[in-house]
Amino acid sequence: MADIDKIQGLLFKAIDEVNAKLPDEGQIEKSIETPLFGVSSNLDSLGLTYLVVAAERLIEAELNAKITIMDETALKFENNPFKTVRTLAEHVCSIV
Amino acid sequence: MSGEAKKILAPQLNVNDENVDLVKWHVEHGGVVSKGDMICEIETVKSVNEMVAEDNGVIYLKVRSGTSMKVGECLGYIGDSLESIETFIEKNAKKTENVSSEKVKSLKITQKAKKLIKKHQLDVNEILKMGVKGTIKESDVEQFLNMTKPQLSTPKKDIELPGAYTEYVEEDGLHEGHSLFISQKLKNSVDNKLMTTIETELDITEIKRLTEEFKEKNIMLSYLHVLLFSASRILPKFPLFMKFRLGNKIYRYKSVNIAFIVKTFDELLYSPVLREADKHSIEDLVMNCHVTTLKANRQQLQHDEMEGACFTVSYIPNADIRRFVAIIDQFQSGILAVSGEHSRLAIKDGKVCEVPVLTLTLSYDHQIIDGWYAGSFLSQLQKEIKKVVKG
Repeated sequence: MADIDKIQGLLFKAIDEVNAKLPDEGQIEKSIETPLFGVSSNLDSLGLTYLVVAAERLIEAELNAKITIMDETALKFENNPFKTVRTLAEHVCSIV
Repeated sequence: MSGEAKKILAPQLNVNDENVDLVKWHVEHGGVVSKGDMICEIETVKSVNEMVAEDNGVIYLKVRSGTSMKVGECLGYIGDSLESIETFIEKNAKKTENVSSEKVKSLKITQKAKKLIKKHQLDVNEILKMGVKGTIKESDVEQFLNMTKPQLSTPKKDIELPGAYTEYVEEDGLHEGHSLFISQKLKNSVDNKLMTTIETELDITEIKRLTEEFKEKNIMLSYLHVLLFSASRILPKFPLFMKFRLGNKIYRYKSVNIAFIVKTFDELLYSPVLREADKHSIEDLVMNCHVTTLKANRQQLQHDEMEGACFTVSYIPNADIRRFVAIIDQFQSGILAVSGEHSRLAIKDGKVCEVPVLTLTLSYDHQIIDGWYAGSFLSQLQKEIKKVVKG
């Protein structure tokens, strides 16, 4: 299992990359408690897709691990891993 | 490419051109090309032009680089394989021998049409395949030439770069690949349509409420989804928006397939198609959009997943963008451009207040759709959205 701090660092890096492409009103806060999905999230589906793609690429480049964070069914489940940056980091740790 | 091989003809680039030179092939005999790849350079008295492949496939070189040839003469073929091209050449030769001698003799062709056919060395049977009935007229031959005209990029020698007051450098590499493909599709469309626009403002107060409701159900509903869903419901009532014009023919789509524009993380534009969008629930439509957007971002969309839409919705979710005009796809007659969310003043219950709005700009082909019809479409879309948000 990968180091969760390292994964969180990579997710923050991914957030920076995504924020560079999103308009001011859609910016993602760089915090482990930032909600990514559900009622309190400010992120739209395109923003979430960008984050997933950016994170997958960074993990492949820096950890040499090719992973699929989100597949076709991921969003269908209530307990999907996209609730917050923290839950996403935990999910990534479990699959890297 | 799928289906029969095609001839690559020497193009007529200027009205007075009778001869052109094939300067250089950029592919080898049997080389594989993608649609939009440069295949050769053609020189006229005025300029050198790049000629691009109209399909994916294998190239069969009929003439050598440096050959001077008449406009309309066959310089090569494109097909699935060299074998299939050779079969096509053989079949074509036999067909020309058999059919031309019998059928063409009994055909009526006007003198002007005969002159054009001779000038471009055309196969009469190919012209007949367009569906010409009775006499072949000059206009039929012109239409055939127009339909088979290769796609060409900007002439190299005709346009001079700006003077010394502007500093610039030439970028490495050529404008090619997906980006070139998209730009050529758009140019073809602009060249063949009479594009006009009409617009309306959409109060999204209730849509915002609906997106919050969906969040509670763990569904990421966006304005784009509501617009795609609503447009799919009204398109069957506006059949002209399910048709497009090519030459003097009108074609009609059988299903409500709607495309939406995806700008990927890598800054590429794709237009995935939601098949039979009118038959999906809004939840299914949202999920389909998520999946195709993800595929586009991973560059996993197949060519056929971006073909066959009768209508397109393009959304730029940027609050600074108040309106924009989208270019209609070459095989469609309408596209809806959706601006970023902004606000305007309105009077509600006797009080001045701010309401959140989107500007919807509908581009349509005025050759088959008039302003009244396009306006009715937008009014009906507004009504349908209200219906959707009320559930």
